[in-house]
Amino acid sequence: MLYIECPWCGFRDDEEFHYGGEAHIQRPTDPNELNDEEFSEYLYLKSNPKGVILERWLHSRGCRRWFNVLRNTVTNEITEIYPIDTLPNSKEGTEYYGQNWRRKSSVEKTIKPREYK
Amino acid sequence: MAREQHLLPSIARKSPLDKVIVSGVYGNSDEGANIFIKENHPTSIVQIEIKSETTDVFLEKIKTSLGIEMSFETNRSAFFNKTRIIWTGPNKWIITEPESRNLKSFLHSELKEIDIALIDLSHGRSSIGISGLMTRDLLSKGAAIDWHPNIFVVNHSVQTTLFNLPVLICCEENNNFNIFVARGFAHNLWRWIGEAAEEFGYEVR
Repeated sequence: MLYIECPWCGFRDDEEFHYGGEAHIQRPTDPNELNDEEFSEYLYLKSNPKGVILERWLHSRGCRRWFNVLRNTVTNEITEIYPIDTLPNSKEGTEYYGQNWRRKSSVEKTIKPREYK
Repeated sequence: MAREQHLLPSIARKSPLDKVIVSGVYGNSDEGANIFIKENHPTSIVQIEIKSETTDVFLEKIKTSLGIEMSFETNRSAFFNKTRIIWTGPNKWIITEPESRNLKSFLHSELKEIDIALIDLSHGRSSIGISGLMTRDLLSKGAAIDWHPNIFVVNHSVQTTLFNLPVLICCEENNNFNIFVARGFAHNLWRWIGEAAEEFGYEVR
């Protein structure tokens, strides 16, 4: 059982939330530019690390807002919670974001990097 | 305007708990009831959503039109007379009062200068009031929320699940809670509350 701190509502049971999958996946601006292999990489390949991961959560039974979470998949420890349109601030989060294979993927190479606030 | 008039009328609105509520004392009530349950019907419920740029004007307008001095604090409610405004999300509130006028039209005319979204939910939500000594014990059986009087203080509000039903709960006075639930779930929630309250002894008003 996870105990997640919603940025607006405070600590709540995980049954009030919905999991939104991996965070910071950018949609290709022009899918026609990609070949099938590159597009399937964007669409189907998800990170499944043993350790920290950046993921999205929705407080569906509360304020109904999305936010990002930095969670350790081994210990289930949540070390950072940050707004949906921003990048992580913590050292762990910044490192994970920078080193993620997706930063070097063909999808992200072809598109303009998203401007986070 | 014609459309507004068509939507009016609501005093004759039928409660989803119409045939369900039977007044009386139930459960373990040899020493008197420790919980009192009632349906607040009819209740006007209007959802209001604003843009973050207009927050200051909105605060001022709520003060002048409804007399409520509210803040932008999360999970809080504020009231004046019988009208109450409850936080339900960033820049989103529910305004509620016992039905006596068309609340949506009133707010629409009072707040027309601000860019807002008003939705009348009076037909779609039910309001159930629970009070009495054991209220917090009863609610703690249904939701994983800290119900301690120092945490869940008067005017605190939460959106959560109570007996697995999505609800908005507002503490109006100490041990006096108002629960808003979707109309279709009202019967289910009423039965759940009744069953959970049996061990304390409860009175339906």
